[in-house]
Amino acid sequence: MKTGATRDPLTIAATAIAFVTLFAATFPLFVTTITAFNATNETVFPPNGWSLRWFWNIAAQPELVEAAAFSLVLAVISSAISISLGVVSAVALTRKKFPGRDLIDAFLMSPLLVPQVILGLSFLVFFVRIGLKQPFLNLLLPHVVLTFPYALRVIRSSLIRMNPKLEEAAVGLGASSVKSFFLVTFPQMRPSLFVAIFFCFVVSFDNFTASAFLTVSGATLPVQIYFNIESSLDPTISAISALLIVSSAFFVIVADRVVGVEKIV
Amino acid sequence: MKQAGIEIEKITVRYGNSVPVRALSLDVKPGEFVSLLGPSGCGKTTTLRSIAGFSDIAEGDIRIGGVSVRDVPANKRNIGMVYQDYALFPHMSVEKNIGFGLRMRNVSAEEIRQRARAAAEQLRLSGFLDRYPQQLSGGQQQRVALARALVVRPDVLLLDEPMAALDKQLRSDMQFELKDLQKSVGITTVFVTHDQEEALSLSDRIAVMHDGKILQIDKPDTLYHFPATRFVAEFVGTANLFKAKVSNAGGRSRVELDGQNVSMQLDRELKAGDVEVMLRPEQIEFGNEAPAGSVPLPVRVQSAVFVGVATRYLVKTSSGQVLRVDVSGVQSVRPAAGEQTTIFWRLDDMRIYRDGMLEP
Repeated sequence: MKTGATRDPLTIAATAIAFVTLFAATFPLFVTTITAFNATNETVFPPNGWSLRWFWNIAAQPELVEAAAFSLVLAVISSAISISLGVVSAVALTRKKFPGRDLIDAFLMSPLLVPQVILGLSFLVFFVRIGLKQPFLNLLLPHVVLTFPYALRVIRSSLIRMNPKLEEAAVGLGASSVKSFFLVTFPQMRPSLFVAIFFCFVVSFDNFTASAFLTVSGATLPVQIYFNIESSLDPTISAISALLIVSSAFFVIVADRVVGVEKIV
Repeated sequence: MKQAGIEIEKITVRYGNSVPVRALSLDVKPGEFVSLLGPSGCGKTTTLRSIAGFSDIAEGDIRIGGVSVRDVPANKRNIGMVYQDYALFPHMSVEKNIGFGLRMRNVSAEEIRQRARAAAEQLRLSGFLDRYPQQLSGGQQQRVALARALVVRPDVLLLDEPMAALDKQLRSDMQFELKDLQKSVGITTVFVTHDQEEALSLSDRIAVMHDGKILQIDKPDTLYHFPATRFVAEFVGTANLFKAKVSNAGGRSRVELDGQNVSMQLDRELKAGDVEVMLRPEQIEFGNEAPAGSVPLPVRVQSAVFVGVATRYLVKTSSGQVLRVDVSGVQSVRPAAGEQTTIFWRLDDMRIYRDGMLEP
């Protein structure tokens, strides 16, 4: 079976394309990571010498550390809000019948389709109009809007796959609808919650386009990185990028091991 | 165990424009095992779900143990239910699954443990308490579902096609086990199935349903031998049907089968007119000489299939009508395919239907 399948020209072509795509997608990440180890203050590839000094230099640039902390808090809080809203909305959309359900469903997913430039600009106009100038709130709201569709999508698909008879069985055995949710439905949603947390966190932590419009003072990490490379292009930025790449890869692998990302998305 | 009867009084269930249950009434006596039998879409599952409290009844009333449950929500009805796919909680062990209903009733942890273990023992699950449902076979999962339903000492047990997912051998074993368990526990049971053999073998009484109504409710043998309507005759068991005419002379009726040269003299009087005559395949015999009081009809054997306990025949009359004949293993006369022969039946075994209803 193996020999027959691998010699099939279509299989060979598909495998080749997959590898080319993988290479094209990861090569820039690879280059960036390597340049972080440059010995001199030029970001060149291949490096003209090896050192770890740029990693230590991150700590010497307080605006980068502050931005990283800011982004972390923003990502955690916006993810938490999106996931709470996602659970409630997903339960309503999959378990309850009400008029206009499909319309609301489509509407809730729509931020995925709006270009982020427009989203960022719209929020900017909106905040100026209502006179809200709060560095954190001005970013939190758009980040919730951006991450919510991911949370909803992941959680909703886990609820759709779940056998609704289980909840009924729990009620038949004497559980109230609240108990049935917390003892039967919720435990089975847990793997999807991990995936949702991961997606929301990455979408928020990573966002540049919308955030760039709304940075008042105290930038998010991607925006701060952008400011920094405008003024200087030493490998500190490569070093922080390398840290982000490695930690993201780590989380993807952990998430896949724990729940199997392919089962959820 | 306390025994509660179920009285269903003219219930109607509506979903938007469809009316799956129409003014249905049914009395299940305490401790009785009643099956709801019917084709899919006949309303049998909806009826079961209204007893459980999962389908709202628009009209009528349901009483369990003499008390109306119309306004009692499903989680307060004290009912044990087993689903076709068992609906076991996949994230709970067998012991936690069985104990769930007791936990909802705020029974102490120690008592839950004892009663769950006792129920597991009764259903031969003692070795599986720490396993998870997906680690069990279909038959074991079904026993967990039964244990989970029974451990709360429900007033009634509702079974929604619980055997449908099992293979044939296991199904027949489980039928015996379920019957024994139900009798020893003595619990009032309503069983939904579309499998007539299952209904015949398990039930004290069977309610045949069609189009949201009960057509007939009777003991299995009465239902089989005296189907009240043509639909029941065809749905329960196999029915050979002839078109026929009744004519009367001297206070007795004569029945003539259309297109066959057969005329039967009854000892009672029916209304004259068009009727249908029904015969079960095993009530027809082969033979060269008609025993006294029986009706002969020449046929040609089309095919014969040996199925172990019997040989199933398809035979064709001279008018081209095809009949099914079952000859049990102990019968000596067993013609081969292609053979020209004669079939017989006794007048007493024959049922007559007028406009689909059984004639007395």
